[in-house]
Amino acid sequence: MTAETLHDALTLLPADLIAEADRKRNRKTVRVHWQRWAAMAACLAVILSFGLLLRSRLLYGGAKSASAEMSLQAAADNCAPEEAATAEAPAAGAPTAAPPLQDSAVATMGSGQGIRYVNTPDNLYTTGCRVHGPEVTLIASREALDAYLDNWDLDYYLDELRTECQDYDDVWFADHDLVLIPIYPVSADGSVTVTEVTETENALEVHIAASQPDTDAECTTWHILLEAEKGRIASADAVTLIRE
Amino acid sequence: MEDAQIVCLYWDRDETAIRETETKYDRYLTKIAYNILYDMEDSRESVNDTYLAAWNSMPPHKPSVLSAYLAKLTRRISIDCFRCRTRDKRLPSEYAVSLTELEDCLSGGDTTEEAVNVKLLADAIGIYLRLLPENARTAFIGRYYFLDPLKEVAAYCGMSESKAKSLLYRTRLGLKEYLKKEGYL
Repeated sequence: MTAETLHDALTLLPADLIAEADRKRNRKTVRVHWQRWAAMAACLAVILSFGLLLRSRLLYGGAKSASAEMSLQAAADNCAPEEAATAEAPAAGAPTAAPPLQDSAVATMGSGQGIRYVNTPDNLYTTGCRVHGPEVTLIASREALDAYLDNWDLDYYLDELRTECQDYDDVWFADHDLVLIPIYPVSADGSVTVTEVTETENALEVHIAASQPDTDAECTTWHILLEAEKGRIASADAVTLIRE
Repeated sequence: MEDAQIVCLYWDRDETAIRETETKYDRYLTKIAYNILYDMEDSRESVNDTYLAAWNSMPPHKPSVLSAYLAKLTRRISIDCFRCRTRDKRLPSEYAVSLTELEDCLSGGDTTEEAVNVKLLADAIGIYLRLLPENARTAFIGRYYFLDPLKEVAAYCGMSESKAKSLLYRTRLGLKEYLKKEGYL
């Protein structure tokens, strides 16, 4: 007997056996359709989630909400070395990883409105710092923000700051202003924390605590990013930085 | 159109029977032929021959399950076509692969004394298949009758490919034991 003989015999199998197996074979079509619809639904859910996430980020700080909250975000960017070659090879002993994010904190303003600020320290090394602008800069458009970053980009590593700023597009600036406050120099072993933000009439006070342990670590520069409703901060002069 | 109505058309010698059969079963039959021949042109030809064979065989036949009857015709015609090809022209179809797999069911010794009554052998295989769990039976018929690829068999049996492969292997060994016991090997 050969395998072909077996096949000849299989051709003569009773019809009911064939029909029974065939019914089960055809069920796969239904299953494939179910899987296809499930996959499409999953994709749709992911897209919707992404859209909602993006929307919530655009509305971050509640600028469009009736409570007129103001969000403050403190972020740090790296102070670049004066020589790029040095920058790519961190000095021995200098910290190279960012410390963990600190928790958001809510401070109460005199008017009773809440202010939320987030410290996102990024404490990398640098070999030197140069001042690249005024203490406080009020940014009202993406174009102005790019110009600010390009200016700082001349001497500083701005990867972290650029990442922090990537979502501030023209749509966001339609409803918001952004205040950038550079804090420098701070030891790479130290940190900058926004401790309190108080709003008085036509003025905003940002209290910061900068710890600078006496170590040999290189210095670094931080940026505080302060998000505000459009027009709420009249000018950069209205923002006062208070070091504690 | 219902199968019974199509069969009635054949019995009435109404040529629309072929058109209705083609509408309902063309893809189904082409897949069976393609699994054996691995060539679309030959498969189309086998399916057309199936329609002719159906026309010539009904009457006298009056199949209760038309799909199974047509599948049997397509299978036989396609296997004949496969065998007509010279060895060099035989394509690596699922049928060709299954020939190797089914050798597990054979004794592996003398293959010259071939005086096997194919009909009786078919009955024996049918009895063996009825003894199997439904999943194993479906997998075996799917793989060796419809010559579906292993991946598809695993999919409609709701198991992984490796599990389906293992199940088919055990079923083939079981068939070999059964055929030995029945005196076919």
